Amino acid sequence: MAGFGVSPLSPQPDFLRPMQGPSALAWAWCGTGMLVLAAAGLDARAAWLDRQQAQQRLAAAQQRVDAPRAVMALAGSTSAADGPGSRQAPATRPSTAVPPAELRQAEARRWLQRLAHPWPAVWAASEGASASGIAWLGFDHDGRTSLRLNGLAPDAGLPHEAAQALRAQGDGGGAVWRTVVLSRLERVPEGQRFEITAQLATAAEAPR
Amino acid sequence: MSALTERPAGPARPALPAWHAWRTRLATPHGLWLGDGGVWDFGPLPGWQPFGARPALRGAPLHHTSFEAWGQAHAGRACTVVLSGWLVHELLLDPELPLADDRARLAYARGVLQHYHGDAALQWPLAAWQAAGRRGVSALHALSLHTLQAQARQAGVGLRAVRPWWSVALALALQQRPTLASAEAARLLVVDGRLVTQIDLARGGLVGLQQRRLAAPSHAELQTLIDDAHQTVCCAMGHGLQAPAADAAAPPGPPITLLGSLHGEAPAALWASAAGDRWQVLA
Repeated sequence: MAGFGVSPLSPQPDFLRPMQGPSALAWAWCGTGMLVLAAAGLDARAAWLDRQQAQQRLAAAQQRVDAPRAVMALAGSTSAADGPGSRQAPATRPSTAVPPAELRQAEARRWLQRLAHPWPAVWAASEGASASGIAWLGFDHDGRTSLRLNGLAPDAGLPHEAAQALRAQGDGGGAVWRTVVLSRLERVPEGQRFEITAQLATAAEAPR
Repeated sequence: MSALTERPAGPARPALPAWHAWRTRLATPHGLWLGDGGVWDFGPLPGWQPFGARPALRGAPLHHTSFEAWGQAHAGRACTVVLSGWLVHELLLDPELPLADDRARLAYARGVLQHYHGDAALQWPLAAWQAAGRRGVSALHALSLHTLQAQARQAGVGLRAVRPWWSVALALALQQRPTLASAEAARLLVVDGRLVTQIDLARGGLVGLQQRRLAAPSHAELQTLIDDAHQTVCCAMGHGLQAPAADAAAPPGPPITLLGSLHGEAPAALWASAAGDRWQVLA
């Protein structure tokens, strides 16, 4: 608008507008207030949508946590494989992320198998001959049956002793390891580099 | 012509086509100073212009014998009319008065004006104003607002605002002399020949507004209006004073800062277009 200088101190009587309406500052405040309200409303709506999404994610995650537990409970029972109860847990919580019952049972078996693994015996495998001057370089176990040990010995007799100790390792009910083989023995400047392979005896009996 | 297209008898159609009305509505208003001697056109007001901003040219104001004559020469233009102090009465309202809104203030002012000026005051157009908490009412007594509006309509010019000159002059003086707003006590004299509108300010707040008459339109008489020396800042602007003789001594008393010459037939300017566009300050 074209006009004279406007100062808050200078009055502006106008005979065409005898009564002064709300000032420009009041309109500016009003507009600012409306803008703030609109921004707050949009923000609240976004926050509400976020909350809904988070709740959905939480529910889905809860389902994924609950489902394996139910399967493990089923796998632990004797005749749960094809019973009518095996489909109850997924049926109560329908979701596309739940795998078929067979896959879940297999997974549960794998978990149980891993839990039944004789980890103390596996860790003790390298300790049988460690006092005799062998420097162990590698310990390779795939979590099922096979074990491969790499080491460095000052003389050729020590690897044989270590293999013998492995064969003799028992957990009270018999030997832990079978087919213990000193598969490699080579001379290096530092001494004798060797490799021992073995199979876990108990794992062979467990269901695969 | 069918019955559907026939226009019913009603209010007359506007004299101008619609696009004329829009051109008038969008036109940059001219600043007109309306005094006893006619109309002075100060050119388009500075500010935002819709179609290609042209810097307002500052020149001598152009004199027209009357508002009607200006309108006939400027059809399609718009104007803001600034009224000389001779045409208005001023009333500064006591802040203690229990007046709720502008409607109540105008009614109260109408009663006061009727008491002092008789029944003629019942017809005067009034305008309420407020400045820094103080409120007042201006009354237009020497001119018919309806006549002014009718002349504008007839000539096809837009009448944007009708304001008393002292309010425009106060805004201009505050812009030119910011110390007026910061001083403990300041006085601005808006000179209209022998009529002076005296505005008293205290730290920017308007504390006094009255119209005073001079015995003679001279600087010496103007000096008598600031005989009390407690004002730290005194400014004067306006027109209609006699030029002092070349060898005249400066009048005694505290100095008055003159914002522009006070000797013309009309005010020297109605606005200052830019900060650097300061007037030559005399005295």
